[in-house]
Amino acid sequence: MVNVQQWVARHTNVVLITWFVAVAAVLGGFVVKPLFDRYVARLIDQRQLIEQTTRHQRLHQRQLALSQAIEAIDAASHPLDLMALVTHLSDIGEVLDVQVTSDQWVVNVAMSDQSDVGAIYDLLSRISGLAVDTLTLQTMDGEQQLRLLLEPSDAVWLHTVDTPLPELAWDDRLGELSTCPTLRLRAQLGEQFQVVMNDSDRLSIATGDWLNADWRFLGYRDQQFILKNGLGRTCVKPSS
Amino acid sequence: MCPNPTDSQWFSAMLNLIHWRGVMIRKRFIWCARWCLFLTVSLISVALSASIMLLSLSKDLPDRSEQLADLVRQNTTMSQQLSEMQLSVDQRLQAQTQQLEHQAQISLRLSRLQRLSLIDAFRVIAVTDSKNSTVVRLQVGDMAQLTSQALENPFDVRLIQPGEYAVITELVFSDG
Repeated sequence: MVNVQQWVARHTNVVLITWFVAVAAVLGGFVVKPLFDRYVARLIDQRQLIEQTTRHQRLHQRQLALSQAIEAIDAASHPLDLMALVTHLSDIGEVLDVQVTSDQWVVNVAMSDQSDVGAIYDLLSRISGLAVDTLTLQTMDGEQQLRLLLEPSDAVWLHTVDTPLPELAWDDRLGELSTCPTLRLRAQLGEQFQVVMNDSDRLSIATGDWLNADWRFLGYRDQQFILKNGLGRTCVKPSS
Repeated sequence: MCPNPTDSQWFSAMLNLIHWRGVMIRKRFIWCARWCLFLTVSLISVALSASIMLLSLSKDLPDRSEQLADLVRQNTTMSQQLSEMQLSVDQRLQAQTQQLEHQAQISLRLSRLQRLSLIDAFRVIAVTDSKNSTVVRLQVGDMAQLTSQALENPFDVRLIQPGEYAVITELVFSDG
């Protein structure tokens, strides 16, 4: 005990400083620090709450903007499958058959001479994700047969387009020229001729009249009818 | 001059000095213990004050950890939804861009066919429109109609089949 008292008396400063540091460390570590950590955690939470609330508002606004964008785009376009395409083609002509392979759609469409070939191009131009490999148009006996070879991708969309394609300028010139008609004269009154065309149709014609879409009557000389077609070629046929 | 240890006065003085030294050591020890106690009490007071202050500050800030966790969860979900929506918008915009490109291609192909309209009189028998060229089989009155247009509308003549009332020909239009 005397030795301890002697040692303390000799190292009083060291003892006091050590005691101060030790007590401060114990109190700081076990009492003040946990409370301080809790307070700092609350502060961090508050800060994060403000940040997250701001972020939430920003995300909400972004969500609204994207929803509106999707609505606007969807109003102008929608997915298109083969059946929907066939329905659209049915408005233009009669869909004869459809063949589907792994990478191609083949559609055959019968069109009347009233059908608009330009409408096919217009329809195809409004579709995305569907490459047109070949479009074959064959005219025969006043009818047109259209064969479409299409290459669909994963997503095919039909779009509403503000500027449609220009119309085909020669849509009325489809189909082969008909053969020179056979005419039989029934009566002639001045420049007026009563004729039977192709042994069936009775017509009253004058010079310059069109007999049908292709042939025009130019005159009657020496018991022969002189006709001219729309391409500028002349046909001379005797009255049958 | 050195003291003589056998001197009784000197010996008595030394005994007093040892006693005095022991008293001083004890007093110093007690003084140190008191200071330690004083420091302890001071530090406890400081710690108590700091604790009360921190508790008070903490009480002013309500515990919103649950609300924060909920908000973080909502934001994470919303971010994922937004990513999907953005992807969807990108796909739609890409489709629109594709449509514009596609429309330009179809327009180009249609423009090949539009060149026919410069010929005075003709009838179209068949059209084969592929990606790089368009083959048109048509009837014309005579081939001179085509040569008059050759410079402005270049095309290849693939077939000439004279007929009685029209010439059947096949023209190949290409973009070059």
